[in-house]
Amino acid sequence: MVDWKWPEHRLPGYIKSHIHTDGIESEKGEFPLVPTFRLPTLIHSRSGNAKWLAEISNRNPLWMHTSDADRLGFKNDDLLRVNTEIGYFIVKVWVTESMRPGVVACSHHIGRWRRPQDPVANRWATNSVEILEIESGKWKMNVLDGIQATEGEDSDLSRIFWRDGGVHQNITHAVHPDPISGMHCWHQKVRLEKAHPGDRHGDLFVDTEQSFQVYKDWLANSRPAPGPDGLRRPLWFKRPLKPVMEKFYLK
Amino acid sequence: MSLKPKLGLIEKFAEGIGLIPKLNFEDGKIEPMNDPGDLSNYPPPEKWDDWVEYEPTKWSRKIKRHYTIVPTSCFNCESGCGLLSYVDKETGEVRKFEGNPYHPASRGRICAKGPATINQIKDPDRILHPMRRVGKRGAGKWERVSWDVVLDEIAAKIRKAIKEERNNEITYHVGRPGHEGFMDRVLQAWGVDGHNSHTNVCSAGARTGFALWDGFDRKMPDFANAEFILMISAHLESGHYFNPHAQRIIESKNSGTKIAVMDIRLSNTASRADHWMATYPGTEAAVLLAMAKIILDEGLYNEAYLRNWINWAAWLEADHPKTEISFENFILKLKEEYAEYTPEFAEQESGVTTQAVVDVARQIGRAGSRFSSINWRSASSGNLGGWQIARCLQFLNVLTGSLGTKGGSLPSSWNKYSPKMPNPPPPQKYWNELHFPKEYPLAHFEMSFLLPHFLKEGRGKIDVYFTRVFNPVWTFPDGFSWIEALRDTEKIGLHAALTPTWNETAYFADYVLPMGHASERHDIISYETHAGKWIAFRQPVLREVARRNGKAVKYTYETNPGEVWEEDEFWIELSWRIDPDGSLGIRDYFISPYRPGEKMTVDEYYQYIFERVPGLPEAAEKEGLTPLDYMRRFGAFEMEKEVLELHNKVLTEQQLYESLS
Ligand code: SF4
Repeated sequence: MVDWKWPEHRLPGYIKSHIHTDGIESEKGEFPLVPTFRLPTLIHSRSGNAKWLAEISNRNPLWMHTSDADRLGFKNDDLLRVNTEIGYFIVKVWVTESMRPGVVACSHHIGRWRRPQDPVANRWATNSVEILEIESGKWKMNVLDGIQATEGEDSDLSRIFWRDGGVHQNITHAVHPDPISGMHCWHQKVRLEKAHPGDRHGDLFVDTEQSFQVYKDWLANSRPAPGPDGLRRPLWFKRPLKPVMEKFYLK
Repeated sequence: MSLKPKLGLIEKFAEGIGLIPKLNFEDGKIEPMNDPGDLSNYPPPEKWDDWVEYEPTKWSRKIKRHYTIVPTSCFNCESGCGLLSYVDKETGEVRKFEGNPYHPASRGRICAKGPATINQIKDPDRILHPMRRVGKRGAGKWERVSWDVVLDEIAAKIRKAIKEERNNEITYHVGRPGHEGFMDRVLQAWGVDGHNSHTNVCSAGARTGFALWDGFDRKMPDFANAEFILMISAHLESGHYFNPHAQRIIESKNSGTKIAVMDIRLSNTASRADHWMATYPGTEAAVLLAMAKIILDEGLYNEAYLRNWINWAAWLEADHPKTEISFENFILKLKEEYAEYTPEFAEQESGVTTQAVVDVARQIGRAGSRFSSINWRSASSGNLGGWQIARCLQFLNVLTGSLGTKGGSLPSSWNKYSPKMPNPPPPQKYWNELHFPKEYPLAHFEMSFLLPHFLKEGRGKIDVYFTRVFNPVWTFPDGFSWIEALRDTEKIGLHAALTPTWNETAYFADYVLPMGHASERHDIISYETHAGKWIAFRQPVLREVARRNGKAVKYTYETNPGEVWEEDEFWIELSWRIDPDGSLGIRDYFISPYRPGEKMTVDEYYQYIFERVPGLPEAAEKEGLTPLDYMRRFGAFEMEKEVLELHNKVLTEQQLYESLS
């Protein structure tokens, strides 16, 4: 780490996260959002074609501890607007004791979509949505319809009883490249408020100019190669598809 | 246990008035089919060629169905559990998937997503033919196109790029990886640095933290033999390799192993733990360092291990040049270094009580070399500096001397087999800065999720972009930036989506190419799921059935639905067409190892690999089978039961030389 310009991290240590409490104003409705938890019954984005799995898991509400809900005056199934750095999404809240106070969480997998012009697919799990580019870089997604029972060659299509379809939260996240590992740091600082009039469950908005700015901000924290001897990368680190040795050196 | 279920009132009534056929339970006339007596969960392999069960949708009519059972591997998460496919002998239809008891990692037990493979292959909306975009990209208009046209058009574009030395404009971007090493082979045969992945939205944090210790970017906890287990995540229900791991963790727990879990939710995992620590996200390292401090202060560390395996003298020399170099001084200075990480500080940061921190730390210290830990995605992938969480976690393994030991955590490559492939191509002469930019020299690995921003900044362009089982518009952060990049044909010249089913990224492709599901293609799998070492086969089930029936099948698509191909054959065929006259030297790597000058078949490729798996030829011979036929029949092979303590093995001169070169 010293060789690569990070002497302060030469030993195992503690780095305060970008969502550390120091930067969270909870009285303003700010929370860290943990958007990463997986459900054991779904595949990342590949279970929309698996009817048994969609039948088991088909909602991704926002988990919130009872004490936080009481403090903010939210009830189960209230519609919330979750504001991220680059936009917002509309989701139902699930008030529960099974959650750490001061933190909210939302599972991924759910919130799959198709537009009216797209081929009909994944009917067990997709919302119908419209996507509008209001002006350059300002994107709005509106849910037109949730999941519907329908006719088809599989008679189980007519037995679909779930309607929710969930919300596509990842699309409202800015990129957060860790300057060392290169990991996308998934957690988001969000501000919660009651949904606005006209907001529908699953609707969302994103400004990609803003997301480009967040990218630039995080990029500025990197400490680029070369390392010792003009290296692009430590030779002893793994790298998929290792090129010839001379390519490891910057000329 | 009685084998005669009693009839309910309604059934009796229905039977009485002739609504349903006579059920005959009461007088025992329903014919027991599969040797009652000992209850058995799995059909024994000697009956796999003709297994009889009653038709489940018309069970009361007692229609017997004859199945041929073919093993394959699940593809619905990274675990690659063994599946048994039940193929109806009369109709040739795959009816269901269950666990393969001969698979050494999953041992016949699978999660809900395994059997759901049947939904995927019977999905009424699946893509059955190659499709080509009509009109603007993303406009939603498609036409059917032949595979020949697809292969020729893509091959010509790649050929042109390679001839013009635009090798860095060809990218293969994969979501769920698979075919172990096959793709690296293809890309290196083309001479392109074209591999991009999902790693940096998944495990880059943990990989970096682990690799900084010893170069092994992941660890394989030997849960089965552990005395104390610490999991940072909901590992039992959704962690990496959760199904093979969960079986072993619960077995351990049942024999007395204690478990601590850090998770913000009362997940299924937290609910099975002895200690649930709901750390505020991103403060895990503070808690782990407080535990390290307790282990140091209370002398619970493993001195012999530290003396042998830590470069403590080098550290003293670098950071404390005035201090005399001795092990005692090392411990002293280390204590000073971590003095601020008191359990009280850990509590203030994380919310976990001081008492819990102390309690768990002591149990870890006492478990010594039998302390197992895991953090894969979870906290390491959520937080700025998350890589330090994995690094601090491994610090506890180092202090307790539980790396590489029975019941400890093992370097993953000890338990993973790397297949030997025919005629490997040389490394490529390119470095692709869209994947490995200068700003991130330590990244593990490709900066995949920044690709749209790199393109927006004009760092490069992509001429041919393959996405395979990869849906960044939906799965990655900032999906609208992906849509902006994908719809721009100046930035991405050609986008081919290889996928069995439509998805949000495929909507923005030029070609959508249907590829087979788990039971419709070939692959090999070997993962670090337990202290053993194994290899498994994913095979196209109906192709194997055809072979058993004596029908010659040349290509997997002949037995797949519609015009669904498999990747292996696609890449071989595409490579062949990129180099029609052999002048690029690409064809050389797709020549059969058994028939000089001829194009390699997938059967030959896997035959070559299986013939070289240690112990497999001998095991196959005992069954009177070739290694390939052994894998077709049983689906998996365990080459070693326990790989432990390799670090304590003395190397021969030759091995030492090889490890250095
Ligand atoms: S745990 Fe096993 S059965 Fe479940 S999805 Fe993963 S590979 Fe398939």
